[in-house]
Amino acid sequence: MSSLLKETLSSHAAIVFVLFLHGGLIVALARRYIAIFESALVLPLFLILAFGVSLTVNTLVGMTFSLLSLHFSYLLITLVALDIALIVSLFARRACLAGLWRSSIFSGHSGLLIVIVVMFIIMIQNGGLIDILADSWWHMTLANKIQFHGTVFLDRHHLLGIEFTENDLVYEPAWHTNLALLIAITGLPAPLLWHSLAPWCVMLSLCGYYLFALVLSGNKSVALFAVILFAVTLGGLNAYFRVSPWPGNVAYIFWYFLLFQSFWMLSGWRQTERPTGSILGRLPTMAFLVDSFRRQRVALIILAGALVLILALHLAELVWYVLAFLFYGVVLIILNTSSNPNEHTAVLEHDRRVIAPIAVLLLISSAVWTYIRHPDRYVLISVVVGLTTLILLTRVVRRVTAKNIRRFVSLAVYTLIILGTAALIDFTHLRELFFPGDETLKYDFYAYYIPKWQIGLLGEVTYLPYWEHQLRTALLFSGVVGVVASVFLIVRERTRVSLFLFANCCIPMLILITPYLFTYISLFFPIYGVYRVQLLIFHPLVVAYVCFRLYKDAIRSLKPQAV
Amino acid sequence: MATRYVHVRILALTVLIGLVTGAIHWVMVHDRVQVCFDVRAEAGGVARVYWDVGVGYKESQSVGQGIPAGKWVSLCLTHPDMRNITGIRVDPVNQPTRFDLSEPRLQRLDSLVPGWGLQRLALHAPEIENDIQRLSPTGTAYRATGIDPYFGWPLPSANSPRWLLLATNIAIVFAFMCMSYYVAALFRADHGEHAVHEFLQGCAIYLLFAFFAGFAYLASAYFDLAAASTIALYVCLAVGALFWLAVSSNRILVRAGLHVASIGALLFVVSFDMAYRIGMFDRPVFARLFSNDVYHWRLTRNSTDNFLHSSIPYIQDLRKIRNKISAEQFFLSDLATSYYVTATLPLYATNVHPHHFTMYKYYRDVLDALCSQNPEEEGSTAFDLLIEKAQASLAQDRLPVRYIFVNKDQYNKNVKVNCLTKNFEAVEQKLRVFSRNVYTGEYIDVFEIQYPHAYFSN
Repeated sequence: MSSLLKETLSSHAAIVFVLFLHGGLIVALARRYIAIFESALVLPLFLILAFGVSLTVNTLVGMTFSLLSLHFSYLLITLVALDIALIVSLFARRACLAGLWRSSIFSGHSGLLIVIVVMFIIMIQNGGLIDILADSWWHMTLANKIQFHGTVFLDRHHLLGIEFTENDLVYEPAWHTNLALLIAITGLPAPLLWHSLAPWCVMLSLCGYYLFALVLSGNKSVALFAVILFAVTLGGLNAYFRVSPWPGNVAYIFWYFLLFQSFWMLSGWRQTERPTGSILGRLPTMAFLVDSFRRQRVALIILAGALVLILALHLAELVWYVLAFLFYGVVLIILNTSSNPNEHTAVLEHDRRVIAPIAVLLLISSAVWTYIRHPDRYVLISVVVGLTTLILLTRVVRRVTAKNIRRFVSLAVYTLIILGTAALIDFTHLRELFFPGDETLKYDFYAYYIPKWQIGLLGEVTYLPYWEHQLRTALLFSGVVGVVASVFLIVRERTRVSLFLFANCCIPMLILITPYLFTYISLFFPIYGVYRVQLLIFHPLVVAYVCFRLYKDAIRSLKPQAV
Repeated sequence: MATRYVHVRILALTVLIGLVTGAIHWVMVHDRVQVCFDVRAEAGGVARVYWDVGVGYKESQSVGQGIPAGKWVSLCLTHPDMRNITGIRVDPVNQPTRFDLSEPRLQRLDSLVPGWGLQRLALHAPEIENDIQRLSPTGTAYRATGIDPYFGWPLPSANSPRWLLLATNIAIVFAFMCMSYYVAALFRADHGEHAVHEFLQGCAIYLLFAFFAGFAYLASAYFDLAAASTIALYVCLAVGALFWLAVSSNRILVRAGLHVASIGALLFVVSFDMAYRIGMFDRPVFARLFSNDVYHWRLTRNSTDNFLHSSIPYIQDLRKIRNKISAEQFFLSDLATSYYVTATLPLYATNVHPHHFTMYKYYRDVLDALCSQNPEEEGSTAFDLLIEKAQASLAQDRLPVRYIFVNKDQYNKNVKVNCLTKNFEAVEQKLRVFSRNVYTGEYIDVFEIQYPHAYFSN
C-alpha cells in the first residue's frame, strides 16, 4: 500500500475520531432526552448532532488548552480519556445502548442513505482540494499556525507573520481549532486532511438539507428529491461540494439544521395548549419561547447550541438564518392568509403570531442601527416609507369586510403594489443577467454595479451587485426556474411551505434587482460577492416541491377514471 | 356541427401552429454555422476556430476549447451569423507538438434535417497553412513546428438557398403535426365538437416548445442555441404526438398529461446543470462560453487531478525541509508555493495575493530581479534589493527574508506559470551567488540567504 493511501486512510480515521466519536457518544447518552429521536429522523439527525457536539467539545478543549498554555500535543490523551469515559458511561446505562439499537438508525431513510453513500464515494474521489489558489489555503495556513503555536489566540498574522492591524480579519475560531486538533493528533499535513474532509462535510450538508426539506414539506419523497436536486443543481455555494470544508460551508450544515429545528419547534408549539387571555397570549413570540422552555427545553437548548456554534464557525450563516425568517415574516404580514380558511390557515396564523412580531422588531432595530451608523439616510428613509406603505395598504385590504368591495379594493391595492415594485426594479440590470454586457467584464467580481438611477430624488446613492462570480451561474437556469416556480406555488396554495419558499426565493431576487433594497441591505450587512449566492439556496426544494404538487394533481385528475 | 367543419378548423389550427413553431425555430437558428472536427494532441493545449468577417482572423472572432494531452476530443464550435464570414481558420493546437486531426466539417444549423448543408474542408488543400509538418500520407497525422499551427479555407458557397431551408422546416413541423393528429384520430370513433377542444388542449404540449425556445434564446450567450432549439422542437413534437394518441382514447388524461408535461419542462431546464455535474459537459452549460469553472464536483474527476495541482506531491520534500530550517522565519517564493509552504511549515510568506484584507507584494521587485534574463546581473541586483529590504525590516523590529523556495514542478498549473519555476536553473544559478543551498528535493529546492552581517544569531 502506498504511503499516500495509508495517510489518506489515516486522515479519514482521524476525522471519525476527532469530529464524530465523542459527539456521537454524548448524543447516544442523551438520546432519551431528545424528543426528536422518537420521530423518524434518526439517521441524519444523529450524524449532525454528533458532528456538532464534537465540534463544540473540541473547540472548548482547544480554547481551554490555549488559556492554560497547554500544548496541543496533549490533546490525543485528553480526547482518548474522554471517549473511554463516555463509552464506560454508555455501557453503564445499558438502557441507552439497547434503545440505540432498537431505534435502528438506518431504517426509514434508505433513499437518503443511498444518496449520501454515493455522494460520499464521489467526493472521496473529488476531494476538497481544488485546482486553483483559493481561500482554502488561507484557512489551512491559519489551522497550521494554531497547531504549531498550540494556541487559538495567535499574536501575529498567521500568513504574513506581522503584527495584527485593525484592518486584519479575525476569523471565527471553531473550525480552524478543529483542523488544528486534527493536524496535531495525526501529524498529517493540513492539505491532505482538508482533502479528506470534503466527503464528510458533503454527507452532513445533505443530511442537514434533508432534515430541513422534510420538516418543511412534511414528505420524505420531496425531501429526498430536493437533496438530489441540491447535489446536481446550483442551489448556492453548498452545491459546490468541493469547497465544503471551508468554514462558511461547514456553518451551512448547522444553518439547515437551525431551520429544521425552528420549524420542528414551531410545529410542536402549535400542538400544545397555550394560555389564553393572559399577557402571554397577547405576546405570542414570548409565549412561544416560554412554552418552548417549559415543554421543549432540550430542543431549545439544542437550538441555542446550534446558534452559538454557527457564531463560532461563520457569522454570516446566522444572518442568513435570521433573514430567512425575516422574509417569511414579511410575506406573512403582507399576504392575506385567511381569505379562504382551510387546514393550513391555523398553521399560518400561528406562524404569523410568532414570527411577524420578530420580523417587525428586526426591521425597526435594523432601521435604527442604520440611521445611527450610516450617513446615507435617504435610502433608509425611502425603504422604511416604502415598507410601511406596503404594510398599511395590505392592512386596508384586510379591514374591508364587504365582499364585493373587498374584491375591488384588493385588486386595486395589489395592482398598486405590483406597479410600485416594478417601478423600483432596474430592468436593465435584470436583462444583463441573461444577456451579459461586455462592460461587466471590465470590473472586479466584487465590485458593485451602478444602477440606471444611481443618484435618487433625494440625492441618495444606490447600487446593485454584479451578476458575475457565481450569481449568474446560480440563477441560470435552475435558479430562475426556482423563482418562477415559487410564484406558481404561492398562486396555487397558501401553506407554510409555499409562503416560506416564495419569501426566500422572490424577496432575495427582488433585492438583487432593486437598487434601494440592495443598498439598504448592504448598509447593515455589507457582505457581497459570493455570499449573495446563499440567498438562492432554496431553489432545489422549490423545484422538488412543485414537481411533487404537479404529480399529485396528475394522480388526482386520474382518480375519477379509476372510480 | 358538421364533421367536415371540424376537420377544416383542425386543419387551419394545425397549419397555424406549424407555421408559428417552424418560424420560431427559424428565427432562433437561421444563419448559424458550426465547424466540427476531432483532434488529439500529444501535449494537449487549446484548439481554436477563427472566423474571418472581412477584417482578417482576429482573436475576438474566435472560439476555442482546451484539449487534454493524448486523448481524442470531438469539438464543434459555432458562429451565430455566417452571412459576413469570408473565411475559416482551424488551429488544432497552440504549441509545438504532434497531433492527429480529422477533416473539419462545416454544418449549417438552420435545417431540421440532420446533415443538410454539410460541407467538408479538405485538409489536403487549405488556402493557407502555417507551422504544419505532415507526418502521414493519409493526412491525419501532423506535427506543429511552431506555436501557431493552422489551416485556413475560404467559406464554401452555400449548397442550399435559405428559403428552401425555411420551407422545409415548416413543412416538417406541419407534416409531423398532421401525421400525429390523424394517427390519433384513427383511434377515435367520435369526430364531434369536443375534438376541437381536445386538439386545442393537445396544442398546449406543442406550445411547450415556446417555453424551451425561450430558455434556449436566453441562454444563447452560453451554449449552442441551434442544437438546443432543434432538440427541444423534436422532443415537443414527439411528446405532442404521444399526447394526442393518449387523449384520443381517454380524455381524462388531458389534465394529467399537462401536469406531467409541466414536470418534464421543469426538469428539462434543471437537467442542464445535472449534465455538467456528472461530467457530460466539461463546463457549466450556462456559464460564460469557454470559461472553465473549476470549483464544481464532477462524477469523472479523480483525486490525482486535484493532488497534482496542490501541495500533495511535495509532502515528502516539505517534511525533510522541516528538519533543515528554523521555525518562525520569513521566506520568499512564488505565489502558489508560498501558500503550500505556510499551510504545512511554521514559516511566514512574503508573497501572497489580496484576500481577507491581506496583501503583501513587498518583495515583487526581488522576484523580478531573480527572473531577469540579463546574464550580467548574476543575482547581484536581487541581493542588493534583499539587503535593502532586510535593513528596512530590522529597523521595524521585523525579521528579514531568510529562505528562498524554488519550486521546480512543471505540471502543477498554479506553479508552472511563474518565472521562478519556468527558469529555475537560471534562477538557482543566481541564488548560489548569495545564498546557501540547504535542501534539494524532487520538487522543491531551498536556499538560505547569506547576508553579509550576522542578522540571525541562531
